[in-house]
Amino acid sequence: MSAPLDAAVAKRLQSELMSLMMANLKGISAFPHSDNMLNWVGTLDGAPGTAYEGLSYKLALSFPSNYPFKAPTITFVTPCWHPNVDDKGNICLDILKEQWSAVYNVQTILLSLQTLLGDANPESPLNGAAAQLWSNQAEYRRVLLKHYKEHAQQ
Amino acid sequence: MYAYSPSNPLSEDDVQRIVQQIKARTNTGVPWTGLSIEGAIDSLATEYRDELRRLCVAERIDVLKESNIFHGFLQFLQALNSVFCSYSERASRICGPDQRVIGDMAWNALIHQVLDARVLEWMEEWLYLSLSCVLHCVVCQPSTIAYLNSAMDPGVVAQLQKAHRDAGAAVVGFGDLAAGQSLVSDDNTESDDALANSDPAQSERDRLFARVASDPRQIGLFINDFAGGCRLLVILRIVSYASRSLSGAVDRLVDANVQKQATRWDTPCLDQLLTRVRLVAATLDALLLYDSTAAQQFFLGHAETRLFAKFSELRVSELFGIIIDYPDSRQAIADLRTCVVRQRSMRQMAHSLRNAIQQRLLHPGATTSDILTQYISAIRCLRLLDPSSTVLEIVARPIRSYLRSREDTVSCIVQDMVSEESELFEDLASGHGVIMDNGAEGIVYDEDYADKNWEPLPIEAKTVYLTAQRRDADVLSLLVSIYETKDVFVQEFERHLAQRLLACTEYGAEREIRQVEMMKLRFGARALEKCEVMLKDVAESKRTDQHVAETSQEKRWDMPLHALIVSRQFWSSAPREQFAMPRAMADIQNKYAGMYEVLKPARKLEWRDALGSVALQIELADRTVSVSAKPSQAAVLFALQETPAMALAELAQKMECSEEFALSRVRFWLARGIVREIDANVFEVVETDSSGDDAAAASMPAAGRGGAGSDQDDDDEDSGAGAAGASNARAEALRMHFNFVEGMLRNFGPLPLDRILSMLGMFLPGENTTAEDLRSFLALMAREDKLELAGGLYKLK
Repeated sequence: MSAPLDAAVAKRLQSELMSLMMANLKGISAFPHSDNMLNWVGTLDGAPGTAYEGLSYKLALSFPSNYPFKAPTITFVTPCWHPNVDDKGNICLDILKEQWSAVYNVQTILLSLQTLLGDANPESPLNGAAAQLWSNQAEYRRVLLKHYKEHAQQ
Repeated sequence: MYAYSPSNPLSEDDVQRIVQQIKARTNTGVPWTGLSIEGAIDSLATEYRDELRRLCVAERIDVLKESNIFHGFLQFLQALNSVFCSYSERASRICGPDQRVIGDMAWNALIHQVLDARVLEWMEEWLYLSLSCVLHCVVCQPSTIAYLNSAMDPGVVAQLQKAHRDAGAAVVGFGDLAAGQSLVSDDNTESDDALANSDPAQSERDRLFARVASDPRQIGLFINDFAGGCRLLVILRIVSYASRSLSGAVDRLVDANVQKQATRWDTPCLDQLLTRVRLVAATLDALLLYDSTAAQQFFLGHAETRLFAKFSELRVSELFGIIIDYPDSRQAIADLRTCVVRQRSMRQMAHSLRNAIQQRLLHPGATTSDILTQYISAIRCLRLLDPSSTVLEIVARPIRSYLRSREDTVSCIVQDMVSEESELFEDLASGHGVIMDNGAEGIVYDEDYADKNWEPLPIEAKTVYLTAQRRDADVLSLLVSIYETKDVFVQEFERHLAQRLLACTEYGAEREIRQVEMMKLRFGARALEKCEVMLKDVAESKRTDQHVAETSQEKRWDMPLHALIVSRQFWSSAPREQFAMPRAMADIQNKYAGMYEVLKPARKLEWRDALGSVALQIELADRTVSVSAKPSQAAVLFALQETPAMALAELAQKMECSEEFALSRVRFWLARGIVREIDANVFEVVETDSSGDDAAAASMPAAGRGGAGSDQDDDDEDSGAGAAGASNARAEALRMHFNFVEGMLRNFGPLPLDRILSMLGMFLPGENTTAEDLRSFLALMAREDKLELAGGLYKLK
């Protein structure tokens, strides 16, 4: 069912999985689907001390067949209310676009995303409402929790 | 001329005077002018209005309601009646016998003005109470009807009997009931009220029930009172103005009965409910409307409509659960079908069910096999409910598209299809036509498999049907048609078959042959050519093996090896292991291969050691152990037995493999207490087993092991230290294991054992844990409170 997989890509992803599993970092996790090494599911917990503390998000990670020369496509599966995430779950993050480099790996990407959650860039928003509210973190947290309750906890 | 002023009530003398005047005019033939009979009656009514209003004063009603609804209302009716008697006596004097109707009309209007909302509410309460009590009496005491007989005049009884006969065959006639036959099968003394709240009427109802249950004579009194009250309602012309209270009481009674009686899905409820409701309605019809045959069925029709509406509302809301319980819930489905057909609410039901499924089933928390089971049940249920399959078509669409999005749907279906106790297996074995590609459209049926109960498509079906044929398809082909192509199923089946064939020893593949034959019937012979080759390989291997056995007997060789010889192209590729086979085993392999090459010239055997298994008899100093192991695991033991103790590096060198490879095989023996670690990464065979039955536990953290006797204590320490050393190496491996398991569970949610096993095998290199090992490992993790097992699924704490 899966597309023919380049051995080098498989090897790279395999070793990334291994190092991710052994690192066992708090709040970030990802695992490939059993039938396709190129599609992973990720889980991201908001970092303590940020507006996203205590919230958990599912991600879809899709690696191109020429990985790591091209960035993986990453989207939020759990609806995420954030200045740099649109309502389809697309993410605006430079290292996933023009700043991609082959030295990044799943672990660094997930860590960057975790940072992005707590430290948004309201200058280039995909979600205008969230960007406007960003400066007022108390109110932001309230709206965020409401959104999370309505959309994410189903 | 008599001048009437409303502020000046009529005295008895006034009435007399009017009567005189009217008589005089009538006798003399003088035409009527000015004061008419109507005017006089109007004045009379105005006079009585105030008195009636006093009777209906709110406070008094409330007091009566609190204390005693039943008798309070009867008293109220009697008071009304005495006013009515006085009124009608005076009115008839005014009007004379010929014009009575004018007086009656005035009374009607009067009652209409006087009966305010509170009185109507009170009356509804009274009726509800009395009717539940009637029903209660009939259920508990079939002889109640005899009392009903004696309490009413013969004309009414005749009407009542007719009404009950008309209510349907389900209701037993009066004579039968009087003879002691029970009306309802469950004649336990349940009370019929379902309003278990602190309703003030509640306690009174209970009192009333208790009274009539205690003494049959009390039933007679009660029935008398009730019938009397009803008669007063009729005489006082209240019935025609209070239809809302009447139907309100009937509605409440029906609702309470539905709530109370329709709790089980495995017994038919509808008929029994209908019987009860019809009985009540017919009683009411007969008591209240006996003078008007046209309205005879008023309450009956009303009550039935209400019953069907309420009952189907209840069952539709329960439909999701009913489908889960299928086939135990067959009766509930039959009941629901009756309702829905009557109500014409198929579409509504379908949409409500679709919403329930989307909310309760199609979410990440449900396992694919649960969704499949529910889908299959839904197919069967909804076909019973609606042979035209319109409902199924509406409900199935979201399930199908959701299943398509799940990764393990195909493997779940194939697993289910080939396990012989499943329903899908029956479909597979049925041989209903070949499933073609491009979904159900292409299914080709035998002529004689045409559905006998064919019904034309309903009009609304046009918009929802993908194909007209799908509704005739069986469950299996519906499942296959979730995907555009059946190839995915055939491929999954090939994988499954290869696994099964590799696992079976003795070349016995009868079951697999049968499966392939059945698959051929449903999926077409061409699609299963690959599987045919696999089966042929097994049969061929058996022949070869016999030949090898005979040849070795002639040469007096010992030949413990049996090989499954497969055609490389047709079997999914097997992993290769790089290690040196111990000489003894390699010799046997070479002999086997030699004999094969004689038999089949120009062919060469290539051993796949990873798939093999070795039955070992391990003779140790104090015990003999039988173990089934993989060849690489056996090789480790062969290597270790040659020297007293061996370091991991040395072992790896001897086996010509990597250290990790060797270590993971050593772990197999560590877990069984046959090898122990005497120093960091140095291993030896445990010749004398000190810990007895706890051998396997030696590799676990050495807690809870008690030794008796000093000798054993020494040994225990020894092996305890060994276990601790081994557990260092193992702990690292286990931590890695657990991190992987944790990663899976965190990202995919709860998983069953086999999914965890297959994912470990796929993503953890050099991994060859067996299902048993993994199960005990996960059990250990559960004991350490890191995992929990619920319903066959492991999940993170």
